[in-house]
Amino acid sequence: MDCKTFEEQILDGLDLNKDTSGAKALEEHLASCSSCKAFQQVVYSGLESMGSGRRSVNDPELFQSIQNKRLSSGSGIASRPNQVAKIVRISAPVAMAAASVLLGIWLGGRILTYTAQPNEETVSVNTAPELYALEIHMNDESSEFIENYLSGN
Amino acid sequence: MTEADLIKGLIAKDEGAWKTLVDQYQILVYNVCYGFLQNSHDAQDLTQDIFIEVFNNAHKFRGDSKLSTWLYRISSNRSLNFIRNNKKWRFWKELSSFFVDDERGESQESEEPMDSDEKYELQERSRLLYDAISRLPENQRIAFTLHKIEDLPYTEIAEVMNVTLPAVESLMHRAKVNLRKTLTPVLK
Ligand SMILES: [Zn+2]
Repeated sequence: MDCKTFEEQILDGLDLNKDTSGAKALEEHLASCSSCKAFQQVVYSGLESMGSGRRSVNDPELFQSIQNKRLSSGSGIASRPNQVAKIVRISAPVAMAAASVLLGIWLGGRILTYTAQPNEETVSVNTAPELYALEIHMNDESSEFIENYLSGN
Repeated sequence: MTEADLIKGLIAKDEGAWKTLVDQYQILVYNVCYGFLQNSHDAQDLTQDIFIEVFNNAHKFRGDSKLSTWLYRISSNRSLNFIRNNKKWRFWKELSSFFVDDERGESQESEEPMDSDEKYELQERSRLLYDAISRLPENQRIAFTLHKIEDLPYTEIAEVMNVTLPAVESLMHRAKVNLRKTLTPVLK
């Protein structure tokens, strides 16, 4: 059997703990094939990890939270604490976004300074303003997205 | 309370029926959302929204399938809608996960404490698989997630997706081919 067949068996969830000829063949192959071994680890532990945040007991506060959300959806009053929590939750990514934008501006500036050197033969006169415009456009979009997200939530 | 009574109660906007529904099915709805989103805050928010939607649209339930089938269907579709509508947002979230302990890692309840290398490796494997699943076409993604994470049999997936059993088999086969295509080059 080739690697493709073993990878299919891994995705089918072949149980290595079962005493079958298929399981034995796969186990032997995994001992000698590093790429199938890596594939098996990603699939098996990936699936296990993806299922690990599942719940098995009820959240006793869920019904009340749903009631609050439902009743407030018309008035919009009770959604404020939730909004604060959301802002706190998104603070790290927003800080990251701001840092990325600043980094973009700084890098853009560095590139423009470099490309706008008069002794660079290949750079035409118009290149620098075009690049600058692209940079501005990208930054406008980013801040508009952040603003939209904040106002929409 | 039988399922028929529960549905009648929901259509009549009965408070008791509404609470019974949330008590009986919140784990199902939350786990489906979590399976797709891999984020407990988003899954919790979406679970609330789905129950509100069910409450508002109970009269649309045709009664030709089980209530759980209907909830699996709504939860899967709403989860994919959520992902579709939040693609830009996910970018920032993923960026921040480089610096902040990842949601998935935090929620893992392990019997033995893991060292940081092990934890990182597990997160990395989980991320690779999740990214590969995220690239699947939506129907294949629903079939694969419901089967592999929710452990639903093909027959039930067929009902949830309103397709035939051979169609689910075909979706699963194509999902596996696509996952191999995505993962194999990364792992070589
Ligand atoms: Zn191999």
